[in-house]
Amino acid sequence: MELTKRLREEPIRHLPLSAPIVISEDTPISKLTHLLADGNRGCLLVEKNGYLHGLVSERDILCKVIEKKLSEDEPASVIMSTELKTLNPDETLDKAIKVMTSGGHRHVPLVDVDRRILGIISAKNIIDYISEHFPAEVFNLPPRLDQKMATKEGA
Amino acid sequence: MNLDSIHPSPQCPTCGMEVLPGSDICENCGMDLQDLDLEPDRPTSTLHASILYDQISKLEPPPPVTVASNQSIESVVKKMNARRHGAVCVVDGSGRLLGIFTERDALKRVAAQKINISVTPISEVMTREPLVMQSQEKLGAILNKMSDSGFRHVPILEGENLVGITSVRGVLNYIAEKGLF
Repeated sequence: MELTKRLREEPIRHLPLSAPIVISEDTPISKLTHLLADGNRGCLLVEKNGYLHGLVSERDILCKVIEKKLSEDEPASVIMSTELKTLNPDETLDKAIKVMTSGGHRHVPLVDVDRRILGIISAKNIIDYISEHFPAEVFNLPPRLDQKMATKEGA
Repeated sequence: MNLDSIHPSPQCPTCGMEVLPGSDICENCGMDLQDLDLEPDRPTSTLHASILYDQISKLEPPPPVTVASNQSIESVVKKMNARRHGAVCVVDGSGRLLGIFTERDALKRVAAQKINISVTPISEVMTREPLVMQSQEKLGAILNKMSDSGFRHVPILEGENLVGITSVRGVLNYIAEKGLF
């Protein structure tokens, strides 16, 4: 299937997504920094009463903590963003790309209709998906439009 | 009549150097090109073709924010925030790339450690010898490198010269424009 069609039809839930790290809004900044750094995540989701409430990204740490020299004892609620774009895992990859590119969001939380957290999708997940679906071409790029590799494996 | 306009020189799939049509090997990198001269098989989707054949320069990578290696972390972070860039390139006096400093480095090497950001130079926390790519390499190659390495920002060179920086989002924007909207 060609790529554009694939992106328009593949639901987000088919991607091998990592589970998000979920915190509460009173988690201190010192802990957030370690969760982001050690968990190898670009963002954390903030939950309140079982529902998605906010998001803390690497960018928030850079802009609000390092530059403004905010105390590490302050809670997540001080630096989190609460106006979030969300997606449902049944929506398709093209929708996810649209939300990311139009809003400049690198991570988009996945929620159900009641706003309960189901997961998270990142721009990197999309790049991985596209890259993985074109391994032969991506590894062995032929030099001209009118040429192709003799075997699947290329040279 | 200029023959080049009818048959543009093909490029080596490995290094991107122009090669003479019909060459058996690439003179630049030694890649075997003998099996490549086959029947046309044009990809049907523009997006597909774009990933295969468009050069990184098509992404129009923005010029990077550059800083000197002795600048303090504090001044660099201020610059990153003011310019809203997720990464800066650390360069020497002649503009040669020494390293890269990203939000991720800020998190791991600055926020998670206790260091004095107003006196520590950026050279102590930057990533040395970062992954770089040449502007004439293909979009598919950068997609693959980003996916494999996990680097979100890749400085783009032309020869030795630093000409731009590409991010995961830059690539995604291009894909969106090309294939979806």
